Amino acid sequence: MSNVDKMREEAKKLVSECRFVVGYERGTFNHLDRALIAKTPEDVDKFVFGPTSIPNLTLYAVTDFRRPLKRGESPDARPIGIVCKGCDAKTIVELVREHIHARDQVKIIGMPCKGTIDPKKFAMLYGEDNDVKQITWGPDGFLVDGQAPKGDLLAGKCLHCKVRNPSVTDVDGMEQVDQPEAAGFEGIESFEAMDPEDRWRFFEGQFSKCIRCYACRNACPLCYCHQCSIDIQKPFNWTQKFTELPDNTFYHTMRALHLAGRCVDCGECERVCPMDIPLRLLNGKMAKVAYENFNIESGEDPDRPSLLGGCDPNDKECFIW
Amino acid sequence: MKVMDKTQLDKLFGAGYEVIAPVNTLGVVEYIKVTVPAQIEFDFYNSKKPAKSAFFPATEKMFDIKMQDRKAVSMDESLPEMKDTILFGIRPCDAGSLTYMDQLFNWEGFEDPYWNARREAVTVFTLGCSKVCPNSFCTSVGGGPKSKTNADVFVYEVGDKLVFEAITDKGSAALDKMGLEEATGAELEAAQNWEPAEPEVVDLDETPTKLDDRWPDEHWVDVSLRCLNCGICTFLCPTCHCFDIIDYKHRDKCARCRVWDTCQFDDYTVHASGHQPRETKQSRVRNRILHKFNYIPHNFDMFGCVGCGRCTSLCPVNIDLIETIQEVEK
Amino acid sequence: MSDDFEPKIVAFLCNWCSYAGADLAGTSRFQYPPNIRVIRVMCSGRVNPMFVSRALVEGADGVLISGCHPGECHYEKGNIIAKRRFELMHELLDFMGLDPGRFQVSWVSASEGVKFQDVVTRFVDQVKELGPADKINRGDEL
Repeated sequence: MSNVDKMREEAKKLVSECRFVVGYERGTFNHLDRALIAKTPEDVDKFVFGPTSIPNLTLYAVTDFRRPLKRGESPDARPIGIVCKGCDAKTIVELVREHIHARDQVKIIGMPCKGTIDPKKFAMLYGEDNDVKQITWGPDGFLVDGQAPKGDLLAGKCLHCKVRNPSVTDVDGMEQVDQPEAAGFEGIESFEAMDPEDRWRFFEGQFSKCIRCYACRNACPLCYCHQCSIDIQKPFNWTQKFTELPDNTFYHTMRALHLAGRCVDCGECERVCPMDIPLRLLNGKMAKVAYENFNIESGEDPDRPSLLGGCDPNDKECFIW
Repeated sequence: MKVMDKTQLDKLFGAGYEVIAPVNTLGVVEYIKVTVPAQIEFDFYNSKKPAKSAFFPATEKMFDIKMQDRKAVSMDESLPEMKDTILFGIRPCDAGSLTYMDQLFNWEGFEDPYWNARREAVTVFTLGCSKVCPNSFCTSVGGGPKSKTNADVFVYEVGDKLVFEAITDKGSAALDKMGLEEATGAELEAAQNWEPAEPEVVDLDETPTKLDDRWPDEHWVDVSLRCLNCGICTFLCPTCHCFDIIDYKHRDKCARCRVWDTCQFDDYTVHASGHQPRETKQSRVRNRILHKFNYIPHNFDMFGCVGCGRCTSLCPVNIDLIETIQEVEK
Repeated sequence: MSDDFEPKIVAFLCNWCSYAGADLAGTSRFQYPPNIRVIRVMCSGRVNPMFVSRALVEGADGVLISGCHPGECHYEKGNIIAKRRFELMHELLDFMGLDPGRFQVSWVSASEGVKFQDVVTRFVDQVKELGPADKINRGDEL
């Protein structure tokens, strides 16, 4: 039985005992699979999985879309089922570590994954309006309508992936895939090697494009705060709603810091950005500092200490007088 | 009709106009002021940021407030100082959106001086679409790749040449100042017989009346489950016009500004008391779609959507506008 | 850079050590440059990295944060918690090319009037070297 059939079978079992099961269904545009919040076995029949199953569905474990409860009504305590790739399963580890969910409240259907495509690279190579029917995994790399692709399609995050086979899952017996060696922080290092003025010019251009739609924040499963500090208007606001460089820089700095040591590099912020701002660069830098200075790596151990919630007297002091 | 080579774009600048044109800044095509012809981008389906930003910028100062001893002593309207401007290369759908925006910003006697100041100074050069944008349905809502609505000048792209057709007096005045050659022969013929490919027609004629009784939540829950409540669909919509007004003080200067706001955000409808009447996703998605396909058709007798397809193409979770409407109509 | 540039520096000083240290520097008549505007906070752990960004956006040329020496915090570990944040903030500013030299943390105890004088003098020199902050300063556009 193939992994996809197995996924559907397990999802059908879960759908009766869960509030809902989130999986991927075929989208309407540009080969991006989209989330399907399945409540019946018929919905589950639409589930698909492949290199275009890009969104991180664990978002729907933190987005609360129940209607407001009536007086005296108790909340639905049933668990949630989620179809997870390896990187998404890391998010669950982080959510469990931060006590957002108890582990048994989330049923993970862990799907081994050979890497997803980057929709932006795909649109660049094949055009925004293409007639490609299907993208699948072949023996080595992707197959676009059964042919070898015109160029590199692999998403940037997948180069760094260490968990093609999810590290946590509630479903056994999936056919495992090979794990190639993951890239380290080379990309960040080569950016660091640039001249500071050039680095600022780069970020200046990128941040100036930002329209503050907050898609990066809303798509991030770890940005689950009920009220984001950026939204606070009373008693005073941290920054203005102006879409200008100072405010945009403030926002992106703030978001990178709040995700430091937590970001699991699922790449959603960068994917959803309509203005193509390379946000993984900032989060990658924070991950690098967390790993090198504080020996903290996110998404692996639900019992590890928190980076910004904890402290250690022996931390390095690099710039303090 | 006049004709010009694409290499002669500097004539646009020679006529004493400022030029706003599509520019590709780091992968994002948007309409900004250009000074050199080489900046102008031709190879795009539609700009990512709609052309409304030329008339209704994301951040705009409305009033200058003078402060003395920490008290405001005077408040002066700060109207944009506009020179005559050519808005070059906007797509017919974006130009079509100006019909609604003009009426909205001059609704029932309330005239918006900021919008009007920019609108009057601008001569619109619409560039016909030679390619069909993904997800667009402009022909179904009254537009089309060669729609001349609101255009002062319509521009045909004929190979390496641009053919200009003056639609209004304002447009022909601009063309006269640019000193272009009269179009003849093959170019003229190509422009006159230009038949661009059109997107598929979606039947939306009955939609405004069908949506009349679709207010209850149950119609909207399933279609909005995926929604992130980000502002992409609304910020990048050519007919979305909501703004928030904020006062900003910096040292001894103070200003009242307006910035784009969107009904998809949580803080959009919050009352001063803290009560949030629109607290669920479905109510926000409902507001966006009913506004465009039900309220505006009833109030202004036109669609509130120009069919550019940006909201569908750029939606990170693939909420397809047409699919949603069809789902709700059922 | 012109010599008459006088930077505006926001200094967040912890109530228990650095503020008292600054007081001591004052009562002992140790001269230090008058460029700092002191904001007293109860602990350096109270300082959110967003304070730093906000100060830089609103027109500060530099931000100085000063607290008790690690291990001497009035609240036991407030400054150790703060240290990590500032380390990350510093790295991030550096990464974005945003003059990390405009952001400085120091540990000054209540008895170290001389060190306070030294820290402020050094920091003011450092910021003078960098010149007026213009990268994310909102300036007088409005």
